[in-house]
Amino acid sequence: MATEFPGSQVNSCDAEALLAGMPYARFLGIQLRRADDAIRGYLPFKETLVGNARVEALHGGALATLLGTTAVLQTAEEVDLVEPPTLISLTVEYLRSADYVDTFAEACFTRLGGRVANARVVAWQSSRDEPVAVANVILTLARSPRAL
Amino acid sequence: MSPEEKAVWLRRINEGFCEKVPHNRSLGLEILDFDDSGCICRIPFRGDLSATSTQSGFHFGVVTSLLDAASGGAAFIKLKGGSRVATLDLRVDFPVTEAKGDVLWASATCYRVTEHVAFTRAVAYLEEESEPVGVAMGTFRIFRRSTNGH
Repeated sequence: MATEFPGSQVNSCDAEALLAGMPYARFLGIQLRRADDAIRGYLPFKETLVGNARVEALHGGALATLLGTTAVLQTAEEVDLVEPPTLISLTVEYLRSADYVDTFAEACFTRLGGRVANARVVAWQSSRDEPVAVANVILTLARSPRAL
Repeated sequence: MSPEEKAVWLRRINEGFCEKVPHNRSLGLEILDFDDSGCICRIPFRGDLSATSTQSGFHFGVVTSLLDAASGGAAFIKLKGGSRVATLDLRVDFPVTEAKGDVLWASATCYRVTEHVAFTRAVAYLEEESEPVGVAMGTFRIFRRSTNGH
């Protein structure tokens, strides 16, 4: 809850603060990139993300984490929250083998309700027209009373 | 299979599936047991696997990686280890908001294989399998050696 972070209640649920307070996302190396109005999850390549060295492919779990985390960050970006959003479900389709390069992800909402949000997330590498994975993410929200 | 033969196979599976897979190794993932169509895996808790700095619960990404690896492992085992598999799709439901414990377990089963696709289900849990923290359904593409992946 926001009140567990004394002195930072106001901003504890913005996207940057959420990512900074997520040790596993930092362990993977997930970063947040801002461009114009959009935010992107960014996962620079590193050896510990590798799922299959023989065919030089990233691990599906690492991509799934990028996709889910990007949905969480997008929620924080668009909604005034009092608690971090939590995932109800995460469905990932792997479309192509993910190479040994950096990966980007962007989320948009197919529905943003009072308590539940449905997000569609796309992850790509060298070309946005050739996504490596897409995800449907369902999250629960705790909106700030100010916003209700 | 005798217990000695099984121990040899378990070591071999762990070599192929954990030690030679950098991401699984970085998570501390280990396969503890297997039968002809499934396996049981675990990841011990570490601070850098947690969801938030203030709570010692596993991040949903760790739960998902474990379920993906266990499901792929189950498919690999069902195919007698002769074929490479790659995740086509994986759905994970998170029935609890917090996965707080010392060890995260996963039990995965490959319930069907066709020529090109393996179908799996798996649960991740802390203490009891009946109280899951993640429930997964997956499909995996099979690259059979004999057909050269085509």
